[in-house]
Amino acid sequence: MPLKDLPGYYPEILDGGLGVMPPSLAGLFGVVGVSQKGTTDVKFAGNSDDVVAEYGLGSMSERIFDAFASGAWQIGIRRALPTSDGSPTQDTPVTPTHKTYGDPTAGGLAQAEVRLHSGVTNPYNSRKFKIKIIKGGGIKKVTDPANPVEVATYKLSRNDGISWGPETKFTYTHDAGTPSRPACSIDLGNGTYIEFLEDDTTPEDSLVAGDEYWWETTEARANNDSLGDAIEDLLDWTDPNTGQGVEYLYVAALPPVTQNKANIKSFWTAICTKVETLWTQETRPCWVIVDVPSLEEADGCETIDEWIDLLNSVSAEYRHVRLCVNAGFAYLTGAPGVNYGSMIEDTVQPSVGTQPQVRPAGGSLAGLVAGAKLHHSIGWVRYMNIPNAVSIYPYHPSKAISGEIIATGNGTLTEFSGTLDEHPVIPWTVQITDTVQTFVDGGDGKLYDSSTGAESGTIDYGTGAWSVTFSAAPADQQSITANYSYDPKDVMTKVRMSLLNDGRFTTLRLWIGYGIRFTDDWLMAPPTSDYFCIRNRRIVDEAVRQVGIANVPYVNSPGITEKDMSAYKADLSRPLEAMKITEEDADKPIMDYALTLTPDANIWSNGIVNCKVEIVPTPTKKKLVATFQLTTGIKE
Amino acid sequence: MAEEDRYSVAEFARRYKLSEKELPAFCELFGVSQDTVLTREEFKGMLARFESSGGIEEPPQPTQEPQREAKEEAVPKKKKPLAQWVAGKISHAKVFKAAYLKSVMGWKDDTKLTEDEFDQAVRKHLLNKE
Repeated sequence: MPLKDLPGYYPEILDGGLGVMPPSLAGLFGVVGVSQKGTTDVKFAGNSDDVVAEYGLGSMSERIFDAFASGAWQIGIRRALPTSDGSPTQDTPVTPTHKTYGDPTAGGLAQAEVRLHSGVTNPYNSRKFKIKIIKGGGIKKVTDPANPVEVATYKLSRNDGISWGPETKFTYTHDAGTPSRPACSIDLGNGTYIEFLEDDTTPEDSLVAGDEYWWETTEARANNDSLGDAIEDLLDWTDPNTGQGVEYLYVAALPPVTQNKANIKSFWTAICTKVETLWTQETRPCWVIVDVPSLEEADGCETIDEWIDLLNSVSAEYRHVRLCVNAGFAYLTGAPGVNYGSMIEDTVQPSVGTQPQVRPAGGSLAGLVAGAKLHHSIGWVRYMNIPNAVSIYPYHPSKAISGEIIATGNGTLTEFSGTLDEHPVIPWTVQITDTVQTFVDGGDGKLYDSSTGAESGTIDYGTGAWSVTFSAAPADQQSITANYSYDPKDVMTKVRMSLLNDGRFTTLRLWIGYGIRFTDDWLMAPPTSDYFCIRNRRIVDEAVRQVGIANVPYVNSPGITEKDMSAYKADLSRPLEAMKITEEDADKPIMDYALTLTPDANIWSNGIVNCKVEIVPTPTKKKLVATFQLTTGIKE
Repeated sequence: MAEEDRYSVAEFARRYKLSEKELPAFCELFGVSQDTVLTREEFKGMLARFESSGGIEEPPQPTQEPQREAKEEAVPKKKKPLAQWVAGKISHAKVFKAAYLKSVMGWKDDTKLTEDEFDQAVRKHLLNKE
């Protein structure tokens, strides 16, 4: 489907005929971000297929999918040109971290490397991958009774182990290495693949059950210079008929800088300065959504509390009435019907779309706003569903403990038991050793001797209680140590959400029986501002925009005389009247309004009419005032 | 003042061998148009400031090289307000980029900077190169 170059107009049907309202651009928004490919001109897309066709995969495409899933109907897109490579590159493959839990203690002997497909410049998206070996063995089956090799199996996770694909056999794809030996390439669906090379001397020990391989791919990024170009291009875009631009902008990317207080504040400041300039110089109201850096990106933050402290330290120093900052992160599925699989021709791979990802919910926020009436909060539990949200993040990823001393040998004792300091323990992560014998857990609550595979003890994952029997007594004064990972239970709680709410960040919360919703529609306005919520911002902006558009027919008119003023004012009041509640229809944005038009002293030469719009928005029922200039002449 | 000492910027540019490429930058820097009429002294003062700021980056013209070099040596590393550097050296998204620099560096529009200081900040904070 071709991209649409201009947004559609949807005139209101009034009393059986086409309405006389000027066209409204409310709900039309833009997205700036980074993607696999595509134009850097401003383009409009009407559905996810449009986006995939033009922009491919990438963080921007994912956020746009979220927006469409949440109700967006048309989105202006300006792709920022990437300026720094991701990882891996063609010249620099990535060696995965090899977590060894199985037999032999050295783990599987296969060599593994993550590479870009030929012709690909950067990974199409950022992903954290894990491969878990389910059944040990090699890559190519050997039936020789003297040295048989069984083919190993694995499971693949594209989201850091949150969910896993089906158990799959390693498939012999080619020979590689010196000496030449069987290899297996697994396409990862984002322009990269992982290659396993069978061990040349003991192929049956190439891959060991329980072992894991961890790595991540990162997409290319755009610097502040490139993002600034994209942001201004999209904000400067105007509909040629009305002279108005997008109602709001979602910046779906962060620059590749240290995400500390100064840099976060500067990014917000730069965007808001541009938005403010549009208002003061062109009377074009607009507001902007940005995401906060994630817990992992935020500088010096290891816990959610540290992350919240950093964010609140920025909001304590910088507020703006046209800024919405999303701090909601969620585990989000892909867009329905969109194949997120590899863009490499002639390869078959499972769809990435079946494995959701954790990402900022700014796309969902932007989509909900587009579909909402001006005076409806995106936190309205009944209607503001985020269809593709599964759970709320951030959570703190599992923490690894290394070398915890859990007992001491005396030269005779062989049976030991105790409780690990931290729990709940993550299955498949436990190693207990006296440096001679090593025991590993099999994910089933049992500990196995890593050299013989014999069942030798137990581990209670919930409580951390363990017991193990050594075949030979550990030496006197020999420390018995444990390596394991545990879940620190560092999750978003209501207290933490309220801390972010106090900082005027938008957050997510779960309503049992309904689902995940935004807590409310905050703007990061100063504490005493009337523009504390998106609704007030949208209503006032729409009033200003509509009055401005209603003024368009008067451009290049012979001049507004005193006699003409009443007709002029009536024309400009019409959209405000349409926004006002009536006895028949109370579901409208404003309760009352007043429009004051004061011709400039030099109206005959400059065509300027000073305009004051006073409205009482339905949500907050408090009078808001906007003053601006209309012109009935064209400035050269 | 003698009548013949007042000419348009375009005419002075022709007489003082300001190239066609330099003229727009000159006009932008001082907020004048090519038709703006100036006295010879005014133009010469502006020309000195323009040349001390480095003009625009282009290969030196053989015919004017000796004269220009001498003047640049006389007024090295002249400071200009941030707003002038932004106007002269940033071609796109000036509002965003100027605001970012002002916030991250604590500068204001009238903060006086050398070209090196400005370039270094652009390299680090806009191009994100250390």
